[in-house]
Amino acid sequence: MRRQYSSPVTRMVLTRIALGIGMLLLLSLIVFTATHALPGDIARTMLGQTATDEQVSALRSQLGLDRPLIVQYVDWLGGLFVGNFGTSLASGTPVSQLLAVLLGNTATLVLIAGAITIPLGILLGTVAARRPGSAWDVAISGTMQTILALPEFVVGILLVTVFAGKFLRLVPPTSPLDPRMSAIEQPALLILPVATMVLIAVPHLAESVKTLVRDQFAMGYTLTARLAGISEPRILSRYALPNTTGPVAQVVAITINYLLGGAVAVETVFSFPGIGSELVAAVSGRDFTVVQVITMGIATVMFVVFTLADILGILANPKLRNRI
Amino acid sequence: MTNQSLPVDDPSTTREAAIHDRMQDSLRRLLRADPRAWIGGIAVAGIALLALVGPLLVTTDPEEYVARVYSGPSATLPLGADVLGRDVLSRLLVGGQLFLFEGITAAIFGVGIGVVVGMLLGTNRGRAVSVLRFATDTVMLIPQILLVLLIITAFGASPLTLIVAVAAAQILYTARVISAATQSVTSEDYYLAAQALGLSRGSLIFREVFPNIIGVVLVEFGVRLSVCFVALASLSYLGFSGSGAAWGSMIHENQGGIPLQPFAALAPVAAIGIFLLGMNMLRDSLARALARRTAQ
Repeated sequence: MRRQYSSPVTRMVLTRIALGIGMLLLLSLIVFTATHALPGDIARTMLGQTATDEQVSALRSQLGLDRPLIVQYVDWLGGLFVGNFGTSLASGTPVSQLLAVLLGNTATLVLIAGAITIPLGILLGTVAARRPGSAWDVAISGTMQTILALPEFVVGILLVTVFAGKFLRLVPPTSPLDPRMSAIEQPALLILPVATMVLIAVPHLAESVKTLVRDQFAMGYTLTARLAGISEPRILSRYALPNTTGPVAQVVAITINYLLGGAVAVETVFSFPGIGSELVAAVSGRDFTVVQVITMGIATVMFVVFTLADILGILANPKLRNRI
Repeated sequence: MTNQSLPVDDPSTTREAAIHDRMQDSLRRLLRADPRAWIGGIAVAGIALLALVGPLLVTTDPEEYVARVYSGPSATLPLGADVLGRDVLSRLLVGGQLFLFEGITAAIFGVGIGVVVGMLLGTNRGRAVSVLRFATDTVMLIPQILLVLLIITAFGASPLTLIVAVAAAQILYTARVISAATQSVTSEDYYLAAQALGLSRGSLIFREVFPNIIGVVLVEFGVRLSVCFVALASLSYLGFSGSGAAWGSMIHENQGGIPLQPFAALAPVAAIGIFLLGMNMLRDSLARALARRTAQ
């Protein structure tokens, strides 16, 4: 009996993980084709138009570009698995060495921003959902819609203008972290980037949570619970919120996607040394190996996040518990 | 909405045309009554006009050194000078045209292709929709800006590659929305009847599906247009604009001068901000009007 009870859930979880791995493989193929196969000649790009054909072909064989594409792809993918990320075409240093410190900085930024954004977004969304059309709801929605419409860098620039501009100088306008210390040891430099990230990510989360919770409040069981005299906070905590766990987990996963994408512009605004600003530099320098590794790295993080969110949704859904 | 201006069975026109007129009429009325549509429309039209006719109004060369670096506003330079001593107003006037063109073109192509793909997959019962879902979920593993940057890495940043990259990033999102809308049409009686009459796939799509999802397409176009403009503004700020004076790159260049001469960075920030906020209000109001009209 016990086996039968848990097996459909286990099967769903395993299917979800297999599907996610399939997606990662498909994405790796897209990333490889986009950065490797299409533009013609990486060696020519690196050496410039003045290079002789001999120089170009020497570099091609040195980089292994003269091998069949499928061999290059398998080799590259295998390298990603064992942590061999190749060398940066622009600087010649191993990509893993180049990204190690930057990864720590971006992780600090995203984790702190996430730790503020997720509870704040869920709280604001729930408050706005409880009384649709109230002053709170209108104020929260209005602010959210305004920020949601603006690109990340505009929000960042506006914060710089207000808090680090002509009149007020509460915080440093840029965040050039000292590479000898970890990001967390330089809190003053983290304030504006974190604030920007929170401001750009909270609106989406709060709006989505609001819709989800409001739908629950509109359902028959809420009315039944109210008529039975159950208190409003208890309806919220006992019925409405647990029923939204799955969808809210999805929305939180999308919020993390927002934060990672936002990091690109936010880090550039504040000259923050991280994965995002490095990606921009690598794209301008057409440093293919670095672009590939950063893109696949972010995709892997998102794969883990989305998969966890889906598993949480499967586990939290009471309808799936009784399926045999 | 109680007082309809046109009766359903207007004897002077065919029934179909009357319904069409009535729908258009009520949509226009709903939009006219909403202040958000007004304010949004004026903001979008104002900035679009500035971007379109701006290049004709320029009197000084936007690349020329005209005053000390970061000089404040004066009679000759209403918005002061920038980081290289160039006229901020001239650069603002020339910097919007390409941005406007790129955004609209990218949205038209992205949504256009997405709508066709979505309708084709939506009318195809079977595996096509789950394949689309898988593809969209795959691409959504990375934030959209990364997808666009990936294409720019491969092809470089020119106005054409920017349009292609931004448009390509929209296709799957639109296809997903449109295939869902198409699927709901394909379960309606009129669609099943048309199908039973033996209409070809093409006429099913263009005579039955498309006219019935046009509201969804309009709202989706509004959403994607904003996304394209946000993406292009961000790319231009990050240094991928494909032209000399672009609003985004002006902001990046003059960011360091905000404490000294804020207008150099804030004038293009205002142009982009007002434009996008206006577009958001307009789109929101349109979506609401369409939803209310459907509810009528």
